[in-house]
Formats: sequence, C-alpha cells, structure tokens
Amino acid sequence: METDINTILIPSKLCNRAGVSLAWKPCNDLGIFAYERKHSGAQDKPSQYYPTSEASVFHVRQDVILFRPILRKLINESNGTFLNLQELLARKSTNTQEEMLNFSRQYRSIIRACLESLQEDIARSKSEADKDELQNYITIFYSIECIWHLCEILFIDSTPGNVVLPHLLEWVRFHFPKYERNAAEMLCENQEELEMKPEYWPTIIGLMMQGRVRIARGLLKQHSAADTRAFLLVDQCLKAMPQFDVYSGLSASEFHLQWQHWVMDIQSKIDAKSFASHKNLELLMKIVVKDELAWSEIKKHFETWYELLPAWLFYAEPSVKSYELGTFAKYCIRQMGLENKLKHLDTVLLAAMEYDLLEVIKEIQKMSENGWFATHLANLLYHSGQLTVLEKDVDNFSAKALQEFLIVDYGTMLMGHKSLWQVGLSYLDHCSESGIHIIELLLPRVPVDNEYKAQKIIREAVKRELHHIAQFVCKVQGMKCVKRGRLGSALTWALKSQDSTLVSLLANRFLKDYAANGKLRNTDLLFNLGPTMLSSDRLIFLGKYYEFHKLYQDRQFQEAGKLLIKLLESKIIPKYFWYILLLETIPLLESEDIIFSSNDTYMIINFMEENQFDERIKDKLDVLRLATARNLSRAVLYESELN
Amino acid sequence: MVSLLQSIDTGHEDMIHDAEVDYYGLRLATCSSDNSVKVYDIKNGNTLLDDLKGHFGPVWQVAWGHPKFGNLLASCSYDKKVIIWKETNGKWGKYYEYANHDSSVNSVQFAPAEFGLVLACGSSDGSISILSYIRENNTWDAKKIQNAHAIGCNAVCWSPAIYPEPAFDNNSEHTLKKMLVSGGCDNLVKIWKEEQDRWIEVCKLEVHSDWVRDVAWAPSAGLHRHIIASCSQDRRVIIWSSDDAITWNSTVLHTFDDVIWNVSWSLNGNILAVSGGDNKITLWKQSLEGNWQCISDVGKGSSQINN
Repeated sequence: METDINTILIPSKLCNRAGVSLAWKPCNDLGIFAYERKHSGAQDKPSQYYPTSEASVFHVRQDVILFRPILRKLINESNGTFLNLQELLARKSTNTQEEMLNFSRQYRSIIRACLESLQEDIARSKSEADKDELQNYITIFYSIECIWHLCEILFIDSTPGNVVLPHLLEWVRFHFPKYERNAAEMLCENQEELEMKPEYWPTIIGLMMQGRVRIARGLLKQHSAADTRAFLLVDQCLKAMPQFDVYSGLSASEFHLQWQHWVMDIQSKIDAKSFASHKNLELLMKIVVKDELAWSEIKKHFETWYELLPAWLFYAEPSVKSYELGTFAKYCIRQMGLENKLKHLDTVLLAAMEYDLLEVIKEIQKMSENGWFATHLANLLYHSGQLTVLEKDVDNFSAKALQEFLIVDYGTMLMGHKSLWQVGLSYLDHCSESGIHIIELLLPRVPVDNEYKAQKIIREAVKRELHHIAQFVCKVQGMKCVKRGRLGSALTWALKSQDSTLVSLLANRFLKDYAANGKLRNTDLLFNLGPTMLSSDRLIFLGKYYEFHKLYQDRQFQEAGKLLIKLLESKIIPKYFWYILLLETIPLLESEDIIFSSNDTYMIINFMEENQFDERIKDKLDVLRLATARNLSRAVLYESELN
Repeated sequence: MVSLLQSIDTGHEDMIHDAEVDYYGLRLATCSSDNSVKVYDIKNGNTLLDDLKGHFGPVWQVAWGHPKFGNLLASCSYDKKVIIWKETNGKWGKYYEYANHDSSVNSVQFAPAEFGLVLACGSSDGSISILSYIRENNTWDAKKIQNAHAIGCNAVCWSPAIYPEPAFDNNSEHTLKKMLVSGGCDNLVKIWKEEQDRWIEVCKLEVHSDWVRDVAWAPSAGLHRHIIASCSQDRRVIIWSSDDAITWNSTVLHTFDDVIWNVSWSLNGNILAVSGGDNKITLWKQSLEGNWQCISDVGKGSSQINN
C-alpha cells in the first residue's frame, strides 16, 4: 500500500467497538456508520451494543477547494480557455507552437488573476481562520503558477538551439520580483546618497543575479562616489559584458572565447587590487568571475535553489543548453545544502528541469487543488505533442489515455456540484473513450430542484443525443406534478417523456374530474394537443371529446353531432364515461335543426337500450327515450321527403 | 483531503445494518437490528420522514427503486420476508410483501431501470428470488433459483445494463441480458443469466477460501468490460474482470488484516470502497497502468466534525 494516503477518523465510539460500513452518495460522497456483520443464521436477539444512542450515519466528502466561491472565476475562465483550445484543435489538425504558447499564457493569466483576487480577499478578511485558509490557497496557486511557467518555457516555448537561459532569467525575475521593484523605487526617488538605504547593495547584487546588469549599473551611478576611479572601472567592465544571443550570428564557441577574455580581464583587475578600496564593488566583481568565497558569501541572498540556478548559470554557463539543466539544478541544490530537504514544489521543478514529464504530472496530481492543474496542463502538453513523444520510451504508456484519465476525474468532480455540473459536462465531452457513458451515468443523477433546471438537463441530454435520459427526466417531472395535483403540467411532461402509460393515466384523471364536477381543466393544453394526441388512446378520446365541447360552445351543432356519433361508434370510450356521452346527445336531439339522421338515432337508441339497466342513466332514461323517438320521427319524415 | 461534513443521528436503538442514499442523494434509508427501516431527508436538515414498521426481525438491507417507478424502497429481513414500500403523499406504506423464503433474506437489490421494475434477493436458505412487476395486471412475478449457494446466499448484485457489442457479432440479438452475481457460504461467487424466462448459472468463480460476504458489479462507463469485486471472510478482496461475462480473470486487490464485510463501487465505477472488521474503510482506484491503489482511508477514532 502506498504511504501517502489520507486518513480520516470518525468520531464515534461505536464505530470503534463494532466496525464500519458505508454507503455511496451521488456523486462521490460517503455515508459511514457503525456496522457489524452478523451471521444471518445467528439467533435473533439484540446485539451486544443494544441499546445504543450512537447509531449515526456520518457524511464524509472529499474536500474540494475549487468549490469555494472565491475560486469560481478560475473554474469558469479556465473552462472557457479549455473549450477554445479543443475547438481550435477540432477545426484544424496541426497547431503551431505560437498558438499553444498563447493558450498557456491565457491559463497563466487566469492563475495570476486568481492570485490577485485571493490577495485582495486576504487584505479584507477579518478572521484569522479565513486568512489562514486564503494564505493556503495562495501558496497552492503560487506553486502552480511557478511550475506552469517553467513547463511553458521547457516544453512549449522551446527556442532554437536549446537556449534556455534568457527564459529562465525571465522566470526567476517574475517569481522573485523584489529586486526590480526596489530598483524602480530607488531610481524614481532620485535621491542623493542612495547607498545609505539598507537595501541598496542587496538590490544591486540581486539585480546582477537576475541578469539585470543595466539596471544595476544605473543604481551604481546614483552612488555618491560614482565618479571615483573604482566605480568608473566597474561600470566599464559591466558595460563590456558579452551577451549571448542566438540570433547574433555568434557561435557558442566564439562567444565562449569572448567571455573568457572578459573574465580574465576582470580577474587581472581584481588581482591588481583595482577595486580593493571598496568592499562591495570588489564582491560584485568577484561574483562575476565565479570566485568561490564570494559566491558562498552571497548564498544568503537566495531564498531557494531555483533562484540560485539562473544566477549561477548566468556567470558560469551562459550558453547552457536546456537538456543540461537537470545537472546544474542538482548542483545548485547541493550548494544550498537542500539535498534531503526538498519540498514538493522543489521536486516538481527538478523533475521538469530533468525533462521527466511523467514525474511532473504524477507529482502535480498530488497537489490539493483537486486536479485543476494536472488536467489543464496535461491537456495542453498533449496537444503540443509533448506527451505523445513519451510513448516511444515508456512501455504501455498512452498519452491520450493519460490526459483523458485526468479530464474524467476533473469532469466527474464538477458534475457533483449543484451549479457546476454543466461545466463538468463540457469536460467529459472531450473524453472520446468514456466521456459520453459517464455523462449517461451522472447526468440523470443531477438533482432536479425546479422546472428550469429540468429543462436545462433535458437540453444537455438532447444535445448529446441521450434521448432516453431526456425522457427519463420528463417522466420524473411528470410524476412530481401528479403528486402536487398539477395535472396540466404533468400531462405536458408526460407527453414529452413519450410514456404512453403515464399519458393514459393522466387523460383518465382529466376525464374522471370532468365526470365528477363537470369542468374540463387546462383547455389550452387540450386545444393544442395536435399530433401528440396519438401517444395514447385515452388521450385521443380526451382530445376529441374536448373538440366536441368546443364545437358545441361555438354553436356548430352539425359538426358537434357528427363528432359525437363518431365517438359513440369508436371503441375508445372509457367505461366510466359512456353515459356522459349519451347525456350529451339530449340537447342535440332536441335542437331545432335536425342534427342526427335516422341511422344515427338508431345507433343512439341501441346504445341506450344496451345500457338501460345502468344506475347512472336510470332517471334520465325517459327523457332520452322521448328525445330519440321525437328526433327519429323528424328524421324519417325529412329523409323520406328528400327521396 | 477528505472531511467529515455532518453526522445524522438515526435514532435506531441497535446496530445499523445498511444505509442507502436514493437516486439523487436527497434521502437516506437505514435499517437496523431494531426491526425498523427509517427514511431521512438529508437535503434539508436531516429530518426523519418516516419510520417503517413491518418486519419482525433484524432488517439486513434496504434498496431504493429507480425514481422512474415512483418512490419505492425494498427491505429484507431475518423474518424471511422482503417488503417493497411505496411512498404516497409523504407516507410510506407496504406495497408488496414477498414471503417465499425458508430462512433469513440477507440481500436485496433493484435491477437497473432498463430491465423494468425488477428486484433480486438472496437468502440463507440458499436460493435467490427474482421478482418482476407486471404492469398489465399490477402483479409481481417471482422466479426462484433453488440451491444457488449451499448453506446460504450472502449477497446479490445486478449487472449494469450493457448492450452487447455489435461489432463482434452481427447475428447476435441486440437485447439487454439480465445478469446477476451472487456470493455465498460455499466460498463461491456465481454469475447468473436470464435465458428465455429461466435463470441459469453462467459460471462459478472459485478463488475465495472462506465465505463470500459481499459482491459488487461495477457500473459500466461504456467499456464493454465487466468488473466485479468480491470480498470474503478469507480477508481478501478480489477483482474479477471479463470481456464476455463468461471467462473471468481474478486479481487479488489486497489481503487485509481482518475479515472484509462490504465492497461497493462509486457511481461511475472509478472508486471501490472496502470495509471490514478492522474498523477501517479504504478507497481504491485503478491507476492508468491498471494497478489498484489505495487513495484514502477512513477509520475509527474520535476526530472532530468540521462544519
């Protein structure tokens, strides 16, 4: 078993005495309770813990810092960038380094914005606990920013000739900005005797360490003794420092020669005690020529080994190649005496400098920001082709599988949040292998709080052609409306769910309601049924019956009569409803115009006589007989005249 | 990191034997040696919704029905009965009672909704029953697998509804096959399949050396691959995998320090939770390389609840 697993303790004595079991709660929560497996053949008697007051279920959940409102912007904005990237890739098969670099910078600027808002919050927050929590997030996202930036330099923004130092210097300046900031302040103040400030010399040394030679010279010129010989000499030396530039046309060996000359020149000046009058100037020059004593003296200026690394390279190996970084990184770790004290961030940075990308991704998965970093970085590296090249060297490694594995976890986690589930979906959409199936498992589990959310879930399901899920959600909504007595909405949902049994059940409810109190509900809905009516016989009957009502109300008695006869002839009349239809014939039989032909009337008579012993029409039977007889005589006379 | 959110006092007077959360994670059902089944609203303040009385012995397991069929809950008990409860207007009532076992009913589970309203239960009398609701005449049909496990069946679990992969065999019918896995006192894990109205044994998996306590068929995330976890008195958890549900490969997940009682899969089948007599719950996840790794554990003790 691995050692770095999380352990959580359940505060229950009963759990301790008996044992524990659990239940899963969607998506990845747990319910934990004291449990003891009893042999089912054992005697039925209370357990040894009876009676207990500790029969509790403990609700345990993975701590997801990403669900904190303060990080919502990070989630949403990175989601936007992620989707843009996938969209770009879908549009074209090849992608340029330029574009990938652009995306990487977008992600970094999202992290930066997140850090800034965390910093603002920390300034505003009043409680110590809040401050600690925010500080913890800042530490996490600072590390992420630092690693991402380095990975961008090493894996995405590779420069010709594997020249890496200028980027590294930029990286270290970005993450240790205090020297540049101090220098800017001092130069702006335009004060006399800047050297009286305690940070004057540390700033100059710091600038020199970050390769900011020109700014360092600028500060030296503000020294009140800037016109003395030693100062002028230093300025002259620094001005002459050869710069390695891959575009200058100078080969590495030519540059090397120039550099050697320059160093020798300074060394001879040191030997000649040209700077001896001024301790700090001499130290500066000794650093430039890699004097060991001088370097060990300034070690205290460095917070970490990776701050030392670019500085050391700048003076010792200015033409360092990217693939040599690992060796020098280890050298700097030894110099700082940190071999056995590496923290997590150190390990990741070292792995990156050793170009061990798999180790980087493995390590960043352990960071406690719930996979945000690993998911987005791996996706970007995969599309830059950096992960795929590893397939050659590592057995059974699939770059695609790795990045999808991360996306699945991240998407699944978001699916568990009440308002981020749609963001989760958009990630799962980009896992070709299993994404849609996971959506199939998780989407119907999104709790439906209201109709609006139900509509949203249905839209998402239909978008992915998961029609059975859409239907399922409609059905559940329909059932909910039935329970609340909202039959109209229930019918609408039932029709959408295409569940004919539920539709019939509801049509029955409408008809029974009418039978009981003579009112048809939700007439708008019934009027607009259209072809959906065909989903159940009972609904057809309901729809047609409503049509009859409408015609009758509009005084279109002929049409109403025809429809009524059709309904009586049809086999779809519910048992509990036929007598109502029969009663509806009375006013039509008695109307001034002849509406029913003799044949129609015979049919009504037959129908009536078949059911003459039914309780429900017993007292209406006389009226009906009279009406049918009168209408029959009128119809027969009229029909004989026509012939 | 994992943290404890809250505790729900169930008010049961004796040990809880099972706790299950409904489809959406809004309600919790628990059952206990005190013969009762309780239902809680865990979304709004953990209030007790109902206390279901109907069993006359310890209630071993509860199972929620799919919301598509309304609000249904099944429970099985030492009293040889399975009760299906139905909620109407906030109150739970007996919907159907099945009393055709000769001994304690130890395990009950509803089938995936794709198979219709169907449930399976396993009993100490060694048999497994499969109950199916017939909509046309509002009745329940029962089929029984006699002598499924000698001395007794401890656990049953349905396979997820997976359509057979069409690419391999064009002639095969593209219908869902109902399948079950069961574990028993004969140290065996067995796979069952419905074949033209009859349930037949597909295979018998022999690796455990003591009673099989629990079996769990992993939800399928679209891979045409079956995975089952089983745990046993022999302190081992075994992961069984198969492409066709006929031939199975076994891997020992881990040999624990104590008897293992329960195994269960997370919703999308990516995490397996294992609990047992050592008062610990461990969570396992398969890495990309295919190894099973313990990612977290939850143990006994007395830490504070962080609200």
